[in-house]
Amino acid sequence: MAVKKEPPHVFEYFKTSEVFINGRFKEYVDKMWVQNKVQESMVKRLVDLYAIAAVIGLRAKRRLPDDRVGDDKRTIQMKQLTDTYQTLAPIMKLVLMLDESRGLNEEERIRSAFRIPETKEEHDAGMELFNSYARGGIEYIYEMLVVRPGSPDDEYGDQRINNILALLKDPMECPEIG
Amino acid sequence: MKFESIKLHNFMRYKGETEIRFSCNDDKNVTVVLGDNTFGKTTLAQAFRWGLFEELNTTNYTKKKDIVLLNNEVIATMSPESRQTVSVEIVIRDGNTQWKFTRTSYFKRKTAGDRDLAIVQDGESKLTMIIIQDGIPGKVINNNGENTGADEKKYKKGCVQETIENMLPRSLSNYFFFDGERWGDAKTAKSEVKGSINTILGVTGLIEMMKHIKDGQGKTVLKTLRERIKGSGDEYDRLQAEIKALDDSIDEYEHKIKDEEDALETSQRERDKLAKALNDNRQIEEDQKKFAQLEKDISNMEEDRENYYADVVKMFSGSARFFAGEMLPQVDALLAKVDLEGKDIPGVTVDTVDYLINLGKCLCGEDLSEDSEAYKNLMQLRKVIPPEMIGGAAGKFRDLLYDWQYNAQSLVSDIEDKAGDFDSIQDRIYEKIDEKDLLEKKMDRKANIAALRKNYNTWVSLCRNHEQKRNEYVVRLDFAKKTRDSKNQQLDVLSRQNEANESVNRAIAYAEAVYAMAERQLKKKQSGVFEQLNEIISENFDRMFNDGEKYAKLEDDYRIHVYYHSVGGSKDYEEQNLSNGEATAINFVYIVSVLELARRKAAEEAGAGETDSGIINLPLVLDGPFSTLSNENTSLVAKKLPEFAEQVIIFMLDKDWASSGLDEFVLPEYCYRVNKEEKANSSTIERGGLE
Repeated sequence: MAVKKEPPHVFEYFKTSEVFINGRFKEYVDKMWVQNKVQESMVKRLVDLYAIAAVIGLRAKRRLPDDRVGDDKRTIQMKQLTDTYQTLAPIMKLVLMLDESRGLNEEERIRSAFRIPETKEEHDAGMELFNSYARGGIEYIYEMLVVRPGSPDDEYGDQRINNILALLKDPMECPEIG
Repeated sequence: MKFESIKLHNFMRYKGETEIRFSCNDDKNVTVVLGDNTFGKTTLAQAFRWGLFEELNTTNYTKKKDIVLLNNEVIATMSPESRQTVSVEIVIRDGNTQWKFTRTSYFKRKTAGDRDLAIVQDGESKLTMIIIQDGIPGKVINNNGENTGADEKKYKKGCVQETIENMLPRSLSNYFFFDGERWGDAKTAKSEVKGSINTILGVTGLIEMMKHIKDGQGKTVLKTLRERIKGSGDEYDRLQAEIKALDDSIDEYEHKIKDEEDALETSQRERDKLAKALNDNRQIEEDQKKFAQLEKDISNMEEDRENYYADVVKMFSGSARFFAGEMLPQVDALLAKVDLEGKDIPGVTVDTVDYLINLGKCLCGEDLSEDSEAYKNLMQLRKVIPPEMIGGAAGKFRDLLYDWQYNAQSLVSDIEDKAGDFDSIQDRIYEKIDEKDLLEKKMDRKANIAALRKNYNTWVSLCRNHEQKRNEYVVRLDFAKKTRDSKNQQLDVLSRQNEANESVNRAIAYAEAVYAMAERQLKKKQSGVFEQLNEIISENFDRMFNDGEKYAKLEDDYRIHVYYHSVGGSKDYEEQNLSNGEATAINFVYIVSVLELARRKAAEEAGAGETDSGIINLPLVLDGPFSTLSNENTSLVAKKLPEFAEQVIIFMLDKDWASSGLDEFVLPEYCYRVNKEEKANSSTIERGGLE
């Protein structure tokens, strides 16, 4: 009698739970995004800021621990995550491939990027790694878009636009592989 | 014909005797009376009206019914029993003949009480005339008909007034006695213009007669006669009933037409008043409109600017892929260090390796314990054989990053383009704000021109409604009259069968014949007069403006319209926004044209050959003609005045004297000044006002 083999349980990134932005990161976010008010924001959706922040955190090698002081938070809803999955999932791969903080060798980093976590621990560790870069990125973006004073080199009349362009042109620190 | 002098006795502001002699010089034909407002210039104009027609005009300061003729200082000194007189004596000269007209009124205290200063007129005013031929005065002729000797038959009751009105027709008095405040009025109202033209043509009596015979309301001659016709039979009764009903309808329509015309005239007056106010405030209205437009433009541009910013935000929101794409070199470097290509060994998969590991021994017999070299090699192999090999997935991921990088390569320049748009619209907003600030400083925002415009539009629409209704009733009236005439004819046929009606029918036929004759006469006189007036208006307009581009024309609405001559075959374009000065000058053209028409018609009647000298032979008496004009327009009108009339008498403000340029037409002795002592009730006139 053939024994029915149970499919392995999988924990896909961005498909199991919402993302919370806490503490001072929530304060940063509030300075850059107002729900449904594009003209008062610097990004259209919170999930856009989350995706950009993760890449920038990775590029700037800025990982920050969560800030859970108080209950104040912003939530990125599942629907937003799902709608942006085609962007978030590749960025997760990028994070897992290029992150050097876990003490993995190059091949192990690549393998971790292309494997779907089979345990909750593995999933949570991956998400935490991603979120730590996202937090670093949020702070970095906040410094560039909100804190950055005008510069004589700024070409345009509107400081918000100058800051966005400065961020886009910012070389940042790129991790050297190997 | 010229005024030689006017002498006032206790007339309103002028206590005792006050005399002004007027220039009768052919070249320097202007007499000027200078004085400030409230000093008594208008009183002199009133003296002319009262002296000639026993009429007064409502002024800016006093309503007609409240005007007291007797001088206030004289009233204050009157005892309860005393009687005081007010009189005005006017001397008119035409060739070697002079007429001295004197109108006198007597006043007494209303009550015997010392404290009550109210006075009442004591009996009717007295009007007398003395004709002076070659300097030799004739007898005094009384208007009340109480004359002696041969004069008793010659000069009957009303004769003096009739003489005056033959010289200076009362219906034209608004033209030769002109109040400057009325320049801009709707004084060219249809009925007034029509009335003036009929007076000029001398057909007023004819029209009255036609009204009496047939056209009038109520009992006309023909109606009364027809009522006397006796008839019998159903047909006769039916016709009579129908005619009666038609008569009632005609009465009703005539009343309604009159009501509508009255309402139309009131509406036109209000409309024109508002049009003048709008015209006066045209700059304010334009400024306010421009200001509102600037505010709207700024708001629209701010919206555009915000949309440009939103575009920037939307583009930036997708920049995660841009930033990730830029990391492609790091990914490539990493992937290059690891062999991910995999090994393709026929039949060998991860399951094959797992089977051997579980077995603990290789097919060749080699031990596969966890610390053995063979175990390590096998585990290494396990990573590069299907399905664990990841070379394909990593390759696909690399391609994806490449796409992201490729697709986002224009992101920065796209955002820069939007930033450029944002800046350029921001610059335009600043320009508009500057413009708005500048306008705001100079414009009057308080004046509620929008309300004025709304009010004006309401009156325009009311005018249209009344005009439409009036026209409807005119059509109905015309139809009812024609039907009635036809029924009357049928009735006449029936009535002829009854001999008893013969005398009435004869009377009807006679009345009809008289009416038809009058109608023919009227048509003959009226034909071409409109065209003739327009010719004169056109000549005078050219004299006034010397402007080849524009011309003026009296249209069927009895108003003067100004047009630009067409260019290239297009329709002549009407000037809708005349400045105050232009409107005034055009009204002046109209006034002198009506007077000139009167002169030509009179000359035609008298059989005179030369009729187009262009100078009216009535004097012009103008009260404050320049008070509402700019200096430039004062000069424009004033300098032309002496050319239009044989004699011009002007009461004007000092401030207008210099700009009028009239000094070249005034002999120094014919310039007067009205004086009034502070707190005094009476004024005096001094000769040589220029000194």
